[in-house]
Amino acid sequence: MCLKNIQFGLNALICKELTANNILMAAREPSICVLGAGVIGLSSAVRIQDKFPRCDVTLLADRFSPDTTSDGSGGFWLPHLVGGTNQDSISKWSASTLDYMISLTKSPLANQIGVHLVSGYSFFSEPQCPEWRKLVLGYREVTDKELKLLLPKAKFGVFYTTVMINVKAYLPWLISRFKQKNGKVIQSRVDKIEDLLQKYDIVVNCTGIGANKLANDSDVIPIRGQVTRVKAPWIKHFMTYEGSDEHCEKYILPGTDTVVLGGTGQRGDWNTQIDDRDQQMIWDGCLEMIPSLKHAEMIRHWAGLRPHRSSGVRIETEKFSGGKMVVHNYGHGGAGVTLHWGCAGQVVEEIRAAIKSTVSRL
Amino acid sequence: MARICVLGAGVAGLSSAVNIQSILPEADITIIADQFNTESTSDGAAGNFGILLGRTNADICRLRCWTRDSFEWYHKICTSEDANIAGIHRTHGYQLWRTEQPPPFHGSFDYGYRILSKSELLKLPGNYKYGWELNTLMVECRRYLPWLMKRFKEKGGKVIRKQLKNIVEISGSYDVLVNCTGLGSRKLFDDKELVPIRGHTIRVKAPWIKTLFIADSDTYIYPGQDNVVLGGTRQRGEEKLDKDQRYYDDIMARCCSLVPSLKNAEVEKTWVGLRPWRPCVRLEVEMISVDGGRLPVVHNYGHGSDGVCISWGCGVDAANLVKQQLTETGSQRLVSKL
Repeated sequence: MCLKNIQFGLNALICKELTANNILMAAREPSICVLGAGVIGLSSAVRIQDKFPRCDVTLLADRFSPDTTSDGSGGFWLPHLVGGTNQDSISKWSASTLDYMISLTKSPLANQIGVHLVSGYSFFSEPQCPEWRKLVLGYREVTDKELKLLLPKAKFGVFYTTVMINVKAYLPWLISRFKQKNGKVIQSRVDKIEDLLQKYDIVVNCTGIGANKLANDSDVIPIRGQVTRVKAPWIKHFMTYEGSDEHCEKYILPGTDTVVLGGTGQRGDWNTQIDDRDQQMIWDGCLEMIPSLKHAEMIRHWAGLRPHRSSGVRIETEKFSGGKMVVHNYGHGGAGVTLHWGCAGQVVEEIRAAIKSTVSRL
Repeated sequence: MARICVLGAGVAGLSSAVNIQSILPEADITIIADQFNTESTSDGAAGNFGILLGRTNADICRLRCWTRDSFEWYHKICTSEDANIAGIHRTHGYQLWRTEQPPPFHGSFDYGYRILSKSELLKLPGNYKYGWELNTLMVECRRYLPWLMKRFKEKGGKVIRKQLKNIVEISGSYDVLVNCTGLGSRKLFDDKELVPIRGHTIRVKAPWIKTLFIADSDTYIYPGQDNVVLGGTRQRGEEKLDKDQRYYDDIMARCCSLVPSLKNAEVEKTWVGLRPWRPCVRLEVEMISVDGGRLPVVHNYGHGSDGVCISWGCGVDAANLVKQQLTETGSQRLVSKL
């Protein structure tokens, strides 16, 4: 009986210590570190700051704009290559992102922020009924006349309006917002996320393709994408073609200063060097859609790794001892830009719920 | 060999000249003008393909032909390799109104229009009650005129820079005249029906603007290849070409209320010009008496706001009238020489 009492007492002591830590954490604001400075990391950092203004938020990454995966992307809002993410989440996060982007296009600072409305055509070799049709603006099927005039080889087409982000302007804008609210930025490489938990209470893991190693998640596999950027300011519409006969969708996206021509989608390919055959295929495919691209001035080529996760986007809190936690926010595949704001909002909810449950256990 | 003279080197003159060359490859064609390229009224036009009935008047049948022929031509160019060199590109955007409107005239000829729903109108700027989504083109004369001129010269066309005070200066040298002098016809052909309608535009550097906007028909934002054209004004009977800053400030304010980010766009240049408006577009033959003979003049002027839009179709029509004249009078001249 005495032993039992000692055991009980010991347990009580351990519990007290844990509880004490929790009380301490609840008494002061948790310190938060966002790991990764692509569009996912920066939007998470900014939304966390907005929601938890008294928290110390640090942004830590080894790469920043213009060297992130996000920077190389087309910046085009459209949910695609999102693995097994459930449709309700895709709709919720992408709609929230699109609404936010559209509101930014109405700002006098739209150009500095790097967002603009863009309209255009998506053509297919067979009829489609995408979920996102309810989310974009003015979605409609093209008329027979448009099909005949614009891409006779296609069997079906849709016209709609969406948003394009100039990521190289948007990320710096997010960072400056972050710094204005006293966010700290550290350039550093991290080999183990858990190491950060010694210094921070909450780590938000926005490492994209890096999560394959850092979160030990073998489900994160690259889908390689190559693009060419050209100067073609007479092109005001986007145009995409996805044919069953095609290796991969071809697209022409008019950005602020350059037009993005793409693309490829090579699963499991980690190569970030430019492939000449891909380049030729992209060029031929795009020229077929818009012949005047022949006169476009070549600016640069780029290849990047979409951080695809077959089971879908992972937004999940992983709890550690001492009330610490890692909130994962990765695996957005080809839809990082499309989902970022909504996912950052989800991360904020995760943190809020986790902090609340920590406090309520006291 | 027929000798043809086209008066005027704006979009009407060049379109006529190129069309005449195409159906009369043997003819000797000369363009005489005192204003070329950036000096012309056409150069200032935004070049949006769109027509409002009531603004441009002509026989509805003919207007349909001109619009249809023009669009087919521009579409062919804009889907070709030459699109950017010729200065023609596709555009998309919104035309907003305070009250319900009949369908746009050009809607049956271009890529199509769609009536906006109430929920869409709520999302768009301003409190407009009615509107269209437009899919059309823009023909920018800054590039289009030199492109037409190059084609004209490559096929042997001649060009003389000269300011004509009177038709008699040249009437003896040609078999047919094609009058594309716009407002110049007030003096040259004593046309009292022509009325200048002054317009102002601002061209700004705003490459993030890909969408066109037209509000109340007089406020517009057209995304061009090199800059965005903001407008405008419609001042009937005004002729002074001084650049009154008040008008530009007003244009900028109206456009910024549609697209606020224009506030930060760098102004490249301002422009003021005179639309050559006429109660009816004049596209017809007039026989004038010169040196005891009769000289056919094919008139092609008075296009008002829509000169660029219908220029190709009018050029086709004018060229056909020229050919007709030569066929009719050619045989007469042969007879008279015997």
